[in-house]
Amino acid sequence: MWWALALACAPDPEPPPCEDLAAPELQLTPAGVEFGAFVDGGPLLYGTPPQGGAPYSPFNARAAGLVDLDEGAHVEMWAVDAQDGAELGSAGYDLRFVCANVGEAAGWWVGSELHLRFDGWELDELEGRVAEVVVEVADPGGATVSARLSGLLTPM
Amino acid sequence: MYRLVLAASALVLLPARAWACGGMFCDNVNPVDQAAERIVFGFEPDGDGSGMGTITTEVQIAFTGESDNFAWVVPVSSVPELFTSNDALFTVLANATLPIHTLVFEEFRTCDAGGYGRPANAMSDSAGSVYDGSTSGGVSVLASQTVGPYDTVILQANDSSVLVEWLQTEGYGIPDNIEPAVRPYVAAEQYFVALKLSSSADTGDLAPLGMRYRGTTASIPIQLTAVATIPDLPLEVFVLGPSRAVPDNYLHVRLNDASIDWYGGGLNYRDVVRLAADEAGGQAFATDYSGPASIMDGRLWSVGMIDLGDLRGLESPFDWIQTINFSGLPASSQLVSLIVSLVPPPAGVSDSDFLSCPECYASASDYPDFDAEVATDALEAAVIDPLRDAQEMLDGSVHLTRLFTTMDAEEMTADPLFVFNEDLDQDVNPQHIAINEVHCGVFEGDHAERVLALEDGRRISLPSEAWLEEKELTEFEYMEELRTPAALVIEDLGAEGEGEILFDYREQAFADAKAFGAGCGCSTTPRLSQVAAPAILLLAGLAIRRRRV
Repeated sequence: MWWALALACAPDPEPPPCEDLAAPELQLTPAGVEFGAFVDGGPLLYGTPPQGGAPYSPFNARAAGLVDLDEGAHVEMWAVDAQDGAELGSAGYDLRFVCANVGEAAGWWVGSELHLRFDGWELDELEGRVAEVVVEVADPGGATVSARLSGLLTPM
Repeated sequence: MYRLVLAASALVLLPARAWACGGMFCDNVNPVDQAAERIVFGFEPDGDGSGMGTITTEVQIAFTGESDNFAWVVPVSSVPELFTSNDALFTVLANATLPIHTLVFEEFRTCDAGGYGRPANAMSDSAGSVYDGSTSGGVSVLASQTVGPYDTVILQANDSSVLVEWLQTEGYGIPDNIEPAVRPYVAAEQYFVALKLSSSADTGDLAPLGMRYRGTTASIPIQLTAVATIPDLPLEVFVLGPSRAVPDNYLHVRLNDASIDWYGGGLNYRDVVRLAADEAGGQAFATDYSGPASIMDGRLWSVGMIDLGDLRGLESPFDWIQTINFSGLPASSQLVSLIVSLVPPPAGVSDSDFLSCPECYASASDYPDFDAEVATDALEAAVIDPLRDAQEMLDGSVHLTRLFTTMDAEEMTADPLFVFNEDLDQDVNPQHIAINEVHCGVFEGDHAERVLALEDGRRISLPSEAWLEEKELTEFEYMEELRTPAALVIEDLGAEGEGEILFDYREQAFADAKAFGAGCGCSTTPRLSQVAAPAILLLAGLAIRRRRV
């Protein structure tokens, strides 16, 4: 019975704001750059991870209009050379997002950094290329949002 | 009355089971029991503003299974210097920074009509909750050496399949399915350190491995760990450096103290971190400790711990053992292993029994070849030198940070990086206190209602012990609705500034705590004072009437 009492007294949970946004949208920015501040053609920093591995560029992404990203999401990201179309890198993995409820990010699904790996490329081969980067996020129901940016690959 | 319940988190209570494959991999045909992965990073900046420095990484290694199956491979950014370390480094560090949750029981026997009395050391100023806001087939072997019990190679490769095949051919028990995980590291021409047990060693000889190399940032190559790990692998990371260390590309969580099982000794601490990290998407760390590295002064080695000159002069092996036993040398499996290799216990006697009382099981004359000079040299090389080096690393560091998380294989998609941030609050105390206030009670005993006062100022009304007992509930179970979310704050920290708070439940948590139990009629069992007071009044009335008669 105490359960019933406790439940009866529990405040109604407020719906997560991230579920409320109507327009599906994904925003993408290089790590360390505020959302909306990056201008296409700007420097896209890349480097070697401290512990080794293929060169990478870190990004941050935030999504709106998708549901249940806290239960799971699939992220696909890839980059091609804007001039010759060469495939520069890709990454795909499952992860979960957090529904931000404070500050500038409130109402967006946010997560840890996304690392785009330039498999098979040397550091100096990448310098000066203009990379077209696309990131796509899918929620558990299969709905997707995507975003793109292009930047000049610049060593960290 | 004060009653203390002291409890360490489960961190040191874990059985000393094996864990292995940290940032590395093993033959996943033979499941590896990884109880935790403990890593110590030391960073010594060059001081020229380049961000470069010398990184020392020490990894505790344990492994269950056949010696032949043990293999450990880790990528590094430059050719490292390899050395063996000592388990005591991890044990002593872990114990010195252990999150401890203490519940203090206070009884308030003077209840007045205005409400509950407040203890002098109450954690909130108000009664309510206030928000406070060599090239071989594509593989170049750069170095090959024996380090402690390990045969090691440092190599590079230009083809991941060739690398895997080479390692397997050379007797490194790694599975085929690590090839995709290794591929990007090969593509970037990174170096690999591979080790296996020497033919003369077995898994009982495993010692922590240290690597010293040039770099800018401490990182765990966790993506390789994903190949062979257990669910929710605990990661315990100690970072020594100029200031507080924070995860750079992972999120950071601050825990909800209401999620802690205070009445159960806080033993669910690891679980709370696991839940909090999951709420943050699976890639997040909690800070267990942040503060001066000086708490480790002299903990591993100091000159006065043992007089090696005296030790060399002893004749009896038992005197030699007892002198070590009564010295300040920290216990470690390396110390035990060395002593029993020099003075083996008789058949059927365990190492620990023998070492606690060697003369109980043998006679000194059973060891005619014992030479204290030789034995002490071995002790110095195998045990004391690594302790001296580790102490030197600690002494040379200003700040120590301990971070903790747990991760599933599918969450290991990015290697966590750790950076130093001097703008954040530098101190995180590992000792946490909550107060169980028992209100009223001379006649009530365990029928008195209580308030659980948390460090952040939240005050949670709890029913009496008797009420919970009647309902067959624990306090932890009763507080279920307050235990979520496990992360009160999820934030994105970096090398500078205060970071960005992404999720903040603090204000709501205060509101939840205030509303919890209020008006619910949860205290269905009448308080004894409510029963006793009318009875006392009745008796008093009778007494007065008798006097008047």
